[in-house]
Amino acid sequence: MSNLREPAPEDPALRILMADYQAGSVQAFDRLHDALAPDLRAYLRSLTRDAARADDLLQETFLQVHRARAAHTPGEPVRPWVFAIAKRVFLMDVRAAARRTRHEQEQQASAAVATTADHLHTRHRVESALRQVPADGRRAFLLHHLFGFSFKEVAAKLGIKPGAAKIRSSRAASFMRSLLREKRDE
Amino acid sequence: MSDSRVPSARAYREAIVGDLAPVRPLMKPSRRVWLLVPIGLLLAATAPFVNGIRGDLSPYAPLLTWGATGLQAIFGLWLLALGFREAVPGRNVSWPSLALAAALTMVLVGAITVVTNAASATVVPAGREWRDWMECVVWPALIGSPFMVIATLMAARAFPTRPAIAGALCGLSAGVLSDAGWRLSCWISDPVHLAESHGFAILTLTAAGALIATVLDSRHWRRLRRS
Repeated sequence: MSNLREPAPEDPALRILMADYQAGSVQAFDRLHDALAPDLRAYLRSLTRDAARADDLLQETFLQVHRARAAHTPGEPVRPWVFAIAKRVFLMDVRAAARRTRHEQEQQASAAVATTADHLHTRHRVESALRQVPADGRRAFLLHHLFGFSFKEVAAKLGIKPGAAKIRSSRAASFMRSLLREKRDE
Repeated sequence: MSDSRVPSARAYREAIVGDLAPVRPLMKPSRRVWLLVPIGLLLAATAPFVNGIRGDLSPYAPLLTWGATGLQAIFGLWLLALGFREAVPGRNVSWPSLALAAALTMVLVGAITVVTNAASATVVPAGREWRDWMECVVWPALIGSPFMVIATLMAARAFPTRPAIAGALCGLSAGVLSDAGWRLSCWISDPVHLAESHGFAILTLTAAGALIATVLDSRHWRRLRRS
């Protein structure tokens, strides 16, 4: 663990900023963010060894800190509190990634069985039909049916409501079905 | 990771700023423990006041009756303090401390049992094993449940990073407090009975605390991801 970046010593000003943030001050949030983000990013990079992923997790950490801000006790150190949440965000992400990998492996295993010429032909037809599906629906359809995300997760990724994700995916599926039917009939 | 996974830097700042309302911060763990002290003491006193105190210990009272119960109750509240501390992100209790807490629980409850048994050895009458076992599992677990639920809910509000451990400590605290009172009502001193039934009730409350905290935590994360 020696290569992991340790949190810097606590600055007493952070506790005041945290109290102001809890009181609803935007400036306090911005200053808190500026004070913590560089070290947090470095910490997350040391955990993930991936700059892009660390940046994603940094944003996720601040969102979680925001949701949990009432849980911070005034006067208590801020830095260890935020870093502990960052580590939890990282661990939850690792868990989610492991779930996704498992799902993808299952998909690959089932796909490997279907490698006959017929299947390749079908795949070509599906891909060509997929290209014709409107982009919004295609995204929801692929995230749900190919990558295995729940509609709630799909909705979170696309910034829409779960109901809308379900409708988009369902419309895309219907559209695909009609296209494939047409091609079969040709 | 794609951009769709997490909103852009500006979007997430806007999301936070748009949601920035004043919040009421949580009290210090020690103050939250003090809030639960009266309920904890009430819990430890419930069984003796409702069911009465076993009469065979009177020559040794009050040290062996309320003295040992008080000691066990104080220890239960210390476990609660440990649980509340564990629940605060960045203030996790170390594994040696957790092992020490578990060992101390066994040593204290075991020592009180042995001393009580030495003062007045009573065993489970033949044919009543199952009934007495059930009674000494169900009642302490039922009496300790409200405290366990309240303590676990309070711990979960602190956003614990190891919810199962925080919840288990709250459940253990409820179990020890409940047993502190129940030991005065149960007239059996046999260490085997105490290990099998009283110990099982404590373990049940510990497991229930861990389970509730874990469920609350996963609900919390699901809600956070949705919002």
